[in-house]
Amino acid sequence: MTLHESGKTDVPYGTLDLLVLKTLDAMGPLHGFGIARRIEQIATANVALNQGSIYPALLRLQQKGWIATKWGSSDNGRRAKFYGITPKGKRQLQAEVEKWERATALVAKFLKELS
Amino acid sequence: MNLREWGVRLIAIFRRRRLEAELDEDIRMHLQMAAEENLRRGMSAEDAERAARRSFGNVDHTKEIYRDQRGIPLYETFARDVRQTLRSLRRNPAFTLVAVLTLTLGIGANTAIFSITHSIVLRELPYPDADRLTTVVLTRVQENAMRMPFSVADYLDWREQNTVFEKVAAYGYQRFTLTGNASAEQVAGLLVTADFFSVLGAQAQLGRTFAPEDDQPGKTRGVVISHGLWQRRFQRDPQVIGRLLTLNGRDYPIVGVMPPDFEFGNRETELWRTFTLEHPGRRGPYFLWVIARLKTDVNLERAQAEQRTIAARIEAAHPKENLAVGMRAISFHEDVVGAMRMPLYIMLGAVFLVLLIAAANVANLLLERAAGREREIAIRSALGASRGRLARQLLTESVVLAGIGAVCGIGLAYWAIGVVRQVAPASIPRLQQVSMDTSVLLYTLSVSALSGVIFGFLPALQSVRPPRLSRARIGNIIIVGEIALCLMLLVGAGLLLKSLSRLQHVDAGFVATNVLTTRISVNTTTYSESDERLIAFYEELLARVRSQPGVESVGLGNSLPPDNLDITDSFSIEGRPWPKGETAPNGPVLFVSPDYFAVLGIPLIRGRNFNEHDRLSSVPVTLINETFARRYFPNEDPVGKRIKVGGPERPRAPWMEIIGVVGDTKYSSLGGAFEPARYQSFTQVAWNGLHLVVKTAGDPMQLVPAIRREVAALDKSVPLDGIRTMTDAMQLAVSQPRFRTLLLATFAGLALILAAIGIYGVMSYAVTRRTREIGIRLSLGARRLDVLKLVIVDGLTLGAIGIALGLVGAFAATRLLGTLLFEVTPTDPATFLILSAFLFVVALIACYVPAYRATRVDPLIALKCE
Repeated sequence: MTLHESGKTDVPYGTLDLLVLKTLDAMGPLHGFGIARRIEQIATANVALNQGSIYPALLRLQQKGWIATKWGSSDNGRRAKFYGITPKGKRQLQAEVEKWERATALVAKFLKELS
Repeated sequence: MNLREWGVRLIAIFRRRRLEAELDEDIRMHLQMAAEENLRRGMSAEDAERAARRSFGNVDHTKEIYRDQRGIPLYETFARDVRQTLRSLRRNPAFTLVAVLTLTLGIGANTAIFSITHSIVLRELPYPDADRLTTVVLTRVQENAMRMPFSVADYLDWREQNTVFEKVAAYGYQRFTLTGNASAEQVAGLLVTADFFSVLGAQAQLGRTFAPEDDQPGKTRGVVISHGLWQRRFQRDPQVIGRLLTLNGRDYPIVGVMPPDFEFGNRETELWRTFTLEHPGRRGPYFLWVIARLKTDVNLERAQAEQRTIAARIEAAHPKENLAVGMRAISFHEDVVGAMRMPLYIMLGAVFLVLLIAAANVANLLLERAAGREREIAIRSALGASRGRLARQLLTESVVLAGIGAVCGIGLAYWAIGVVRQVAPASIPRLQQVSMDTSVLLYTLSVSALSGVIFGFLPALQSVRPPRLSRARIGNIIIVGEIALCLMLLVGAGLLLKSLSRLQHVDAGFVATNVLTTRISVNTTTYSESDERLIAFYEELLARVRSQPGVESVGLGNSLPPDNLDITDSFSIEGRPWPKGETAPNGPVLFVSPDYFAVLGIPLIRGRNFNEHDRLSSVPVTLINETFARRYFPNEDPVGKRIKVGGPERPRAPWMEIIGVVGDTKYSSLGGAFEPARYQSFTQVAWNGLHLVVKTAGDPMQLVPAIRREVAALDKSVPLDGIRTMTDAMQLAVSQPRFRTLLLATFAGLALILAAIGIYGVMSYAVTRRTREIGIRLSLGARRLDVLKLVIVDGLTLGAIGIALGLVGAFAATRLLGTLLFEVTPTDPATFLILSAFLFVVALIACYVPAYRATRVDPLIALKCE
């Protein structure tokens, strides 16, 4: 994690996939901009997200079969590509979340015990 | 990455354009939505858009990452490099043309020669489990001595004791006179034992091959015919099975037709007939070749061990006749193509040297281009292209060039193979099977890749890091290397050429000009009643042909020089029992008419020639050649001495009186030594199958119709077999060495041209580089001649180093040619010297043009440049 001048940090490497999956799981199908905005809103001021970087991530998740696309219309009625989580993606998300929780719990415990 | 992802990414490569458009659309939409949101927050239109872009980040960078994720990353960059390379090659058509042409020649020649080597020597013979097929031969004295056929007695004894072969068969070559539904013709065939086809594992395409009992006494003899004969004589009649074929006046039912790709021995063979092996009274004659199939659990070494044991046992049982007769098992593959291995490997080596020279030339061209592109590369590296990226770009160029060269080379090879099949001597085995297959393509691929690395690596390395070797130094290395390789090829070709010329001018002991030959044999059934009848036929034939206008003389002989030997036999000399432990000496035996010697210009050195008084009933007489006289009657007059056929095992052979000595003539091979030959009159032997030899005043071929007419008038069932002139026979005798020489000379010529281009290129570059220096020298008063010398001396120094290295290389490599050379040593000083001088002159000329250009330098312009 590099510290930016603004004091914000980059999205930790490898967690963007998890954030996208979780967002789609919670919000249902969204277009690219919607996903980016949602992540920014939750992270508020802590994270510097280059919105563009979610596109390679979306592609990666598609290639793995965790999300799927379909065309739909946006809030103001424009046609846009919507991304939605697949059953396989949900399973993956669950596994990732568990893994993440185990890892953070371990680190938390570690930091507490040794301090 | 799992399989699914690979699949998705692979598909993406082919849908690049569409996916790219989709991405653009996604991004556009994204930016638009972001800007709209900003507008809603109250920003100005301009600010809203700018803020949207800012939060999106660098669009191009995103796209770049996206693309890497989408496709297969290495492929994507490679494809981009290839596109860029193709563009830049198109911009330099002259460079591209020269480079591609050079590579096409190098790769094409390699592909063609490898195809030939692979098809003839490396690929398995076209029989099931061909690696188990074995040839068994008799040998005399030493196991690696000449391969001899079996006698019937030896074969039967051997077959009885065999334990290592699953199946064995014997065959003998035989020419048949075919009469019947079309004009009489002579066809080549094999007499085979019934297991012949089952040893090979070959099936008939129509009917059947022979059944195991087909060679038993009392069975009707059937024949199997080739696809070619079926087509020619029977117009592919599907009902041909059971029809009768008239061979030598006797009818045989056709039992089977072989498929078109079945081939055994030479391609001439068109029919197979069974015959019965009956144990004869004596060990000879020797005419049976043996093919056998090894049992699955036996290897060739064990088989050979058994051959030794069996040969020793037979020798113990027949100590006189089988003295020092060994048996040898050779892999059938080796038997068929073994002799081709060395010549083809030499050609493969030679053509590889050509490729090295070609690759060196292209490397040189690329270096020159790289020198011209220093600016471009500097700009690109200033713009942030990494060194690795630049090197990769340059390597891509060589891969692309090598790829184009490979494709064109395969085309060239395809054409060249067609030409070789046409012009190569028919005596080369498996020539019609030569083709390109996957192994050939793999070879081409590796050869192209190798050359790509050779010529691409140096320039790539040089352009990205501060050169350790200067451009000029690399150029010099290229010149030296090319000259050395070129000299090796030139010397090799020169040696073969000299050897060929020696062979063509060798004294074979006869005069070939204006002599027509054709083999005449009669149907045994018609003439079998008495020897006189056969002799009378030939005498009548001589009389009829002699009376034709244009005929100077006419004779008969069962063998013909230089390499058409019919039989050899052992002999004994009266009053000289052979020492115990020595076999009777052996030599060619000829049955001739008196004028045979006149037709071929063989001199009678002492004594008398045969004449019309030498008949079946008169004293048997014989003529011997000079080698015979010199070897066996060194200090005495052989005329009046007596010799006979065979040794003590043939007590009933009559003694023959030597009536004269004739000049030496070669019958076994043009390159061989003279052998002790003896002649008997055809009027005392009654031999069916004699060559008519006709000395003519003009073109011998003009006489063919007349001879055909006279033979037909005498007996219309007698065909003319193998009509040719003695000059043709001489040409045919050297066809393989000539073909080899032609190939190697072609490669050497190619190498010479490429090397000359290479030298010229490097020297031109050197002159360009030194323009300023030359300008200074000229303005300081150097004469133009001095400048000329300056440049030429540089070039020639390199030439001399290259030649010195090439001489060392040639000295080491030409010993491989040893067995192919006739009366020329592999280190023949004259050849080495002349070709070195020749190459030096070529190098001089290649240097002269750029050097001359240097003298035209205008000092003022030269000083202003740079």
